[in-house]
This record gives sequence, structure tokens and C-alpha cells, in this order.
Amino acid sequence: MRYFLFTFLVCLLVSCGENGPEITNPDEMVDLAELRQEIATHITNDLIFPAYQELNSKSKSLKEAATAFAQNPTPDNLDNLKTAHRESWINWQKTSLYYFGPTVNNGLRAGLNTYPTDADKIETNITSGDYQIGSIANQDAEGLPALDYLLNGMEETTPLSDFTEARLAYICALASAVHNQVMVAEDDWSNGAFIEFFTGTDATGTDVGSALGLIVNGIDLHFQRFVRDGKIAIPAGLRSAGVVRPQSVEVRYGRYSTQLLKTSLQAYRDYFNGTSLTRNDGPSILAYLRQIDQPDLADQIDNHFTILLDKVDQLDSSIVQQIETDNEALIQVFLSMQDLVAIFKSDMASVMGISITNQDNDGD
Amino acid sequence: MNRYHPTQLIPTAPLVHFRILFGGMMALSVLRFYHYGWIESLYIEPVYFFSYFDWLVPPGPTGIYLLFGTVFLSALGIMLGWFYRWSACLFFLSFTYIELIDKTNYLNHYYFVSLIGFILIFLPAHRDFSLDTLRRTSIRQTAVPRWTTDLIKFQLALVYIFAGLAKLNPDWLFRAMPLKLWLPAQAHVPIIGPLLTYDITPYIFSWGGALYDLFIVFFLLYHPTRWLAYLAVIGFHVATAMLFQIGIFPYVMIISTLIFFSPEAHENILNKIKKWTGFSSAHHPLSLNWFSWKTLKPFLIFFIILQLVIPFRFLAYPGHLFWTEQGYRFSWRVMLMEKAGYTTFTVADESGHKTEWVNNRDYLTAQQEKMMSTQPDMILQFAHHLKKIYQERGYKNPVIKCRSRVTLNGTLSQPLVDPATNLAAVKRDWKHKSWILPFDPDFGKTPGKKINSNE
Repeated sequence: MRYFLFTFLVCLLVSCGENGPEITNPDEMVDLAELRQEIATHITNDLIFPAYQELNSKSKSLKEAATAFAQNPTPDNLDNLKTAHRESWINWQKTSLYYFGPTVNNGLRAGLNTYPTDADKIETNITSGDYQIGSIANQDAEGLPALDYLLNGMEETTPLSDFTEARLAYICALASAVHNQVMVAEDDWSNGAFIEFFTGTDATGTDVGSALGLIVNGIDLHFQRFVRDGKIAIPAGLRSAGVVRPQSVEVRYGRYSTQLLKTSLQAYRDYFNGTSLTRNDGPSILAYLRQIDQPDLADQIDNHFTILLDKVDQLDSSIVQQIETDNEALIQVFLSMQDLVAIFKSDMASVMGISITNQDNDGD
Repeated sequence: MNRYHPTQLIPTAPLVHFRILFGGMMALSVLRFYHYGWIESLYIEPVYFFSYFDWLVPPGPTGIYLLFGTVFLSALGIMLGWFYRWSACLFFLSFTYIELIDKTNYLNHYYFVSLIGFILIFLPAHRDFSLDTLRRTSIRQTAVPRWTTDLIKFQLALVYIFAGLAKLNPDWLFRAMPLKLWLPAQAHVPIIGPLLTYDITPYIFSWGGALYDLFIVFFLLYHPTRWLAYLAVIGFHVATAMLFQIGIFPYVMIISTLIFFSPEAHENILNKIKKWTGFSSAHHPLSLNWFSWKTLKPFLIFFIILQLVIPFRFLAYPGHLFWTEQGYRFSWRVMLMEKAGYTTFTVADESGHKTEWVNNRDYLTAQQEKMMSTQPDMILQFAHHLKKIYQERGYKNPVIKCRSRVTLNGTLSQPLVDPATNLAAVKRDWKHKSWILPFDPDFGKTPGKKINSNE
């Protein structure tokens, strides 16, 4: 008996390459490695590239609107500039979630969206004229949140003459810096070496450095730190024993922070569904989950986005305002995000076999 | 068959080979650890460690490098047979110390290495073909009692057979879990990759793996099947090395199981090596009485019984072992489950502090957070660490509760810990953790619809 078992075993293990089982339905066979590569390719070509191109064009408009306003500070030009600024910020929400490769390497998030912005530092910079745009020390006086302070932070009644030459110069410098950084990152995405690696043969794997590994671990990191914590948990006081921090809301001065939050969550949902900006679906993480026999999980993730977005729809357009009137609603949004994080970290990572580190393990 | 005599003399050669290969591999593995930056990321970057004993102090950056340096040099000492017993002692102590610093890094094969390190202290593996015999020719000895190699064989048999017994569970055998999740993830591996997505493949691997673990030792012990069995050892472990992220363990097993070859076969090889290296191949019979069998016997029997009992301690706890993990470690349960989760904590205070949601990553690395999230004893340990931190911040009686969602072998994630329990008030001991919620294998399944439709 033992000898029989053993022979069976040896045949099985030593020649495990040859004895291909016959009991399968070839129609149902999908090459998972290939599917993983297709997901990475689709996400790159149909989600990341278009999102960056859009951001590039919006940030170019922002730069141009800033120049136009500086040359001719009329109420119309100010409105145009505010709109261009808001649209850039909205489009950043559709780009920032691809948190790996050129997005991370170029430090785009810190350059574009460091908040809370430091109003005092901005004023000092403008007064002294002594500042270096692009330096790390100046990050909290730059980017979209700094422009939010400069454009939306003043009283409605403030005369346009308050936009001094130095102030206008600072606005222009910030707007151009935003555009330049986006251009560099976009170029890096389209022409850099990363793409070849990201959609090449490495894209077929599941280890920590593979395309799917970068995608899943990028979601894990970005969603927790910059969506859940940055947009909700920190301002709502959940990390500071209930002491609310409205000054830490992403859009502190404009009244559209909820729109940014919603755009970000919608972009996440599209990311999972493989929905491109032109609303075309392609190979996606959810399709992959269905492929590996996890349809319930795929449905659960999608349903959860519906629940979360419904909760966000109930919020005031300004999270600063929401904190004052009913912070509990934000706590509910946070808890819903926690559930989503739990699904990413447990169910999704588990069934996809994605590693979070390159460390050894023995599966316990 | 003759009666078994533990003191029957056999050539020293198998021990010599074992010493050289094991020591060499351990030295390499320290270099590998350093190369991947794991000394930094596992022992220097974390601000908190899940140590096994509260009194065990993490040694700090210099200390940890000294410890790894000690492991490296003592492993070389074992390999070369240079101040061998000191080396074996130092190796065992330094390696085990490192392992005890953080439960996050627990791996069965590190436990195996610790045990072998301990055993080596008592084996006369340096009595031939070693630097020690060049220093002191009087200790040279080409024959040793057979219990020395048998002890290593016993240790190996224990690992395999317990690992095999642990696989005899319904998830492994009838749901092919967790291989059903892990194998398709490796579909990109050359040659065998495409085969891994077949529905039947994980079943073949599961059953094959269980049979291998249960019986391989017997085929290694039995002379006529030994070579074939050793080929299977190589095939099996190379396959696992290709498919899973299990580091050097496969190679440790491949070199360790050489001990099953006959002492005479080992001696032939050693004699050839001696000839090439110009080492004296003269026979030196037993000269020194280093440890008498009589003194050692009771300790050995105790050691063996202990090892036979420890893996069964889970029987003392109620509930699903994989879920509660009470008695899970140190039991040779390898590659048995895919468990992942997310556990977060809230801290409030009876004296008026509002609820704060803790960001685990303020205190833990990604890996620590992952491990803590699914292991109840680590959840409690971390809760108590938070209690201390918040007390230092002025909370009088922190109330610490946790929300957890954990998936086990592909089920939809479900709460692991009772969210109503104040973990700050729970004692850390070896008693059953009644605040662990029961595991529901059908959690979240819609009636009449199975998660795994192909079952």
C-alpha cells in the first residue's frame, strides 16, 4: 500500500510538468496570467493615460487662466480662474489613486495636494518675495490647496485691488508649478521606462512587485491614507479623540470638498470595474474576482461602493460645514470606508493571492 | 531485525556533512536576510514588537546587528567545526533570541532551525574533518553512537509527520483550500503555470502533499526506496520553492534529509573529500567520553515527549483551531490556511475622552498589522500596548474595543472578535479566549448559492 502511494507520489511530484489532467472543460479555461496582464494594460491605456491627459489639459487651462487674471484682474477672469482651479482639483482625484510608478516617483501628490495649507507661510512668501517654488519646505504653501486659500479664502466683498502684483505673481507661480509637475508625470507615464515593465511580462505575476501587486497594494495604501484618513478621519476628529479639525479639510475655503470626495470614490469604483473615462468597461479587478470564482465578493465590493456613495450624497457640499452641523454623518462615512478597507485587505487580497511584502512565509 | 542500540557505533561522517551543510546554509541565510534589508524592516523600523515575553527587550539597532553577526559567525563556526560547541550554543541562543523578539515573524521553519541548533549543541559533529580536530587532534573520532544521527532523523520525521497529520482536515482534503487560492495566483510560473488553473490541480497537490508529508520519512528510512524517496524530496521541495514565497526552507529540508542515507555512504564521500583536501583519513575510535548515554537519556526522552505533546496542546481549547489559533504555533502547521483580515481599535475613556479610532499604522508596520489582524493573541497584546500608550496620554481607564473582519480559506470575511469586549480589561494568559466569536463557514452566503460554484 505504502509503496503504491509512494510511486503515485513520485510520479506526481517529480514529473508534475507532464501529467496534465484531462478532466476539464477547455471552454472555461482562462489564462489567469494573461488576464492579469490584460488588466494592467487596460488600466494603463484606458484609465491612467486618459486621466493624466485630462489633468494635463486642465492644469494647462489653470496656468493660462492664472496668467489671464494676472494680466487683467477682472471679476470674470477671477471666476474663470476659480473654475479652472476647481476642475484641475477634480481631475486630480481621478489621477491620484494610481499610487505607484511615475505618480509616486515624481512626488506628484505632495507637490499638488499637500494640505492643510499654511496661510501664514503663503502671506510671508508673498510679502517677502523670498520663496522657492518646488522646494520640500515650501510644499504646504503650494499646490491646489494653497491656490484654494488665495482664490477662495478671501471675503466675497474683498476688492480685486487686494490682488497685488506680488500676490498675482505668486498665484501664477503656483499654477505654473502645478502644470509643470503634471506634465513631467504625464510624460513619465507615457514615455518612461515604467510602462514597459508594468504591462510587460512582469504584469502576469502576483508578487509584491508585479503589476497587480502594485495596483492592489497601491489601493490599500492610498485609499487608507489619503482618502479615508486625509479626507474624513483626520478632519472629523476620529484620530484626535473627537476633537474636530475643520482646518484639515481638503478644500478648506471653497465649498466643494464633498465633490472632490465623491469624485475620488467614483474613480475608485471605476478602477475596480475597469471603467474608462469614456465609460467603456474592460478587463478589471472585479472581472478577475469573478473569474477566480468569487462572484459574491465582486458583488459585495460593488454594492459597498453604492452604499458609501449614498452616504456621501447626504453630506453638505462643504465638509467644513458638515463637521459643524452633523459630524456623526462623517463618522458613518468613515465606518463605511473602514468596511471597504477590510474587504480590500482581507477578502480581496486573500483570494487574489497578492503579497504585501517580499518576506518569507509558510502560510500561517 | 536486531534490537535497537542507541549506543551502537556508526561513522561520524553523516554528522560532519550535516554540520557543514546546515551551518553553511544558515550563514548564507543571514546574508540573504541582510541583502533583502529585512534586518532593517523587521527589527529596526518597527516601533513596537510583539515579543513572546514582556521582559524580552528588543536590542536596538546596534544590538540587532550584533545578534545577526553572532548568528552568522556561529553558523560559520558550526560549518567549519571551529570552537564547535561554543558556536552551536551561540547559534542557538542568538537565533532563538531573534525569533522571540516578534511573533509577526514566526515561521515553522525558524522553529525548526532553533530546535536543530539546540540539538547540535549535544552532538559530536566536530569530531572529524573540522578545525577543532586540527587544533586538538586528541578529540578526533571517526565513530559516534547512532542516537546522534537518529535524533536528527527524529526531528525531521516529526516535522513531516505532524505537517502531514495537520493536512488531514476537511478544508485541505475536500475543498483543496488554501491551494485553490494560491495556485491560480502562480499561473505565470513557466511550464507548470497553465496547469495550475485547472480545477483538479489543487486537489492533486493537496492530496499529494498530505501523502508526501505523512509517508516520506518511511521511504527515506527504508533502504530499497531511499534513492527514489530522496528524488521525491528534491522534486517536492523545489516545486514548493518555485510556487511559494517560502525562502530557504525547501533547501534546508533537501540538505537535512541527506542524514537518512547510510553512514557508510556518507563515510565513502567524506573519505574522498578528505583525500582531495589532504585531511587525515586515519581511523580514530571512540576516545573521549563526552556525554554518557546514561546521563543524556532522561533529558532526551523528556525532549522527545515534549515535542510530541506540544503540537497537540490545541486539544485543550474549544473552537475552530484555524480561527482561534489557540495552540497553533510550534505545531508544524505549514501552508495550511489562507487567513487575512483587518482589525482596528477604538479607545475611549470612562473619564470623558471621546472615542478615538486608532490608526494601526501609527504603531505597526504593514506586515505587523497584517499578522496582528488575524491572530487573537496578538490582537490582545496590541490592545494592551494601546492601553499603556493612552494611559501615558492621560486616559485613566482606557476602554479598548476592536472591530475585526477576517477571512479564512476563502470564506467571506466575518468578525473575529466580539466588538463589545473591552480588551483593556481582559487578562493575557493561556486560558481560552472567550471573546473570540465562533467561526461560521457559511458566513454571508446567500442560501442555495455556493461561493465556490465548481465544487
